[in-house]
Amino acid sequence: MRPSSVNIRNEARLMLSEPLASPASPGPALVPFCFWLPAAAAQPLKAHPGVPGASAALGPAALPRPAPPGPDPRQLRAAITAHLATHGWRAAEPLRWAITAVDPLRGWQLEGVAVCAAVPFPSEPG
Amino acid sequence: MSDSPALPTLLLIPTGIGCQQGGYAGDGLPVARLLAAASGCLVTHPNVMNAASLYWSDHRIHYVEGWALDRFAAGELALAPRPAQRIGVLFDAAIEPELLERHGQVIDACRASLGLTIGPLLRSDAPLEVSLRLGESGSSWGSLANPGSLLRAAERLVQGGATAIAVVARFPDDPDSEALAAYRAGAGVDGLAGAEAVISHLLVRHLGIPCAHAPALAALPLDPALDPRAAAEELGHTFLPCVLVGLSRAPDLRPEPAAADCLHGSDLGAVVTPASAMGGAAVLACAARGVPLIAVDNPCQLRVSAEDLGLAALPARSYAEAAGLVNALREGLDPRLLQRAPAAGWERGWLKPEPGGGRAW
Repeated sequence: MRPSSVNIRNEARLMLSEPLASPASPGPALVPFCFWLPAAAAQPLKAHPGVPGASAALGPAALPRPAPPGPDPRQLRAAITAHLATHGWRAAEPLRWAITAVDPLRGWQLEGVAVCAAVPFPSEPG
Repeated sequence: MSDSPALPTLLLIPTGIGCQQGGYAGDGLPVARLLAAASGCLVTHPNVMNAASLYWSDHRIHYVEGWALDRFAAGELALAPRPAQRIGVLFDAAIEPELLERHGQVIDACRASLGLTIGPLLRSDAPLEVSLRLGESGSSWGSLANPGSLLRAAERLVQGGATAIAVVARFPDDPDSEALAAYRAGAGVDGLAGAEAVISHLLVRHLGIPCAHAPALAALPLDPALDPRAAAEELGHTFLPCVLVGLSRAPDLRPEPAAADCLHGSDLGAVVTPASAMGGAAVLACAARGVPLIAVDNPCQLRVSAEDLGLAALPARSYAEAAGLVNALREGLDPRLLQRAPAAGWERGWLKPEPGGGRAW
């Protein structure tokens, strides 16, 4: 008999067993998306001011030149929200997303999953 | 071992895109250990560190779930290291009794053998109903039908004293699928990973505390030709041990502006990421903030290079080379000089003269 093991086991297995309040709300909806965004739609307006934080402490001579700014993630998030709104999803917030393909004609493919209010509302006609 | 101050470095090996290194069962761990040694401070995510029954604990490595990692990279969240978390464990109601007992034994073992603080435990009030799919790009995604049940249970665990949450969802078994066979042979995408990331992202977004996920699955038939990179997932009955160990010392998440003694996104000195997966939220956020990007040759399903996105990045043919670049940045060396000898026409970096004439310096 190993009483110490038994004690550990009993304490570790302490399950919360009270029933949850009901009826329960369904929670948010998880909505997958994949669409092409013209690259010009998410280019930043100006270059970033420099290299912040610890890397700046190295001094400019020791660093790669400041990178071209590339796509602005805030604008990409806004584009995802706008795209889902056109499909009737309210208050969409990108949960996990990335640019998963690049095409010189179509732009950037944005792919991921967004959190939305549970029930879509009808999209505006026209 | 460098005497220079640590250079906080972000290591990203995105989940579910089939990276040849780090796209399987914690096979990014050697990379994380190397970069932790090179940088003195590494921030990375569960996909890199989780090897089912195997794990590695290193005080220089900060285990941060992907949603929080994106916010950290964007300067919206700071990391506050702490010696231990109290880990609540959330089980999907769909897990069968025997499989649940296997997970309970992992919890017993982690308490008895590792001394972790675990509890309370809770089953969701309804099956989470996880579904898996492949996206247009070939990367794995997924969802769950009952996110409300997940979030309610997680809230109760926090009310019960949990400061971090491990979630175990019942994933669909598909032992005969071609995709699983390819993965086990070392030539496919981790079909579970995308859904796992969605679950943990949703929890962290909702609670603002460290969370990570382990799938519950029936045991697979023995495969003598199993790829070593996938082998860690076939050592035991669950994928939970690495999650509990990772969460046990995960940093707290603090909204910015946070205290000065936290680790801030603005402290980052380098980002290391696969060269053909440069389009993730964390990479773009770091690029926008001017953090040096190190693009490592690590083939995957995606074809999104720094050049495609107009980003400047330091190329590395391997993670060993990336570690050298991190070390160079840490020592204040220009890493470009280590990649080729300066040519006679090497640009010195003069600013162009002002339009009105005169000298630029």
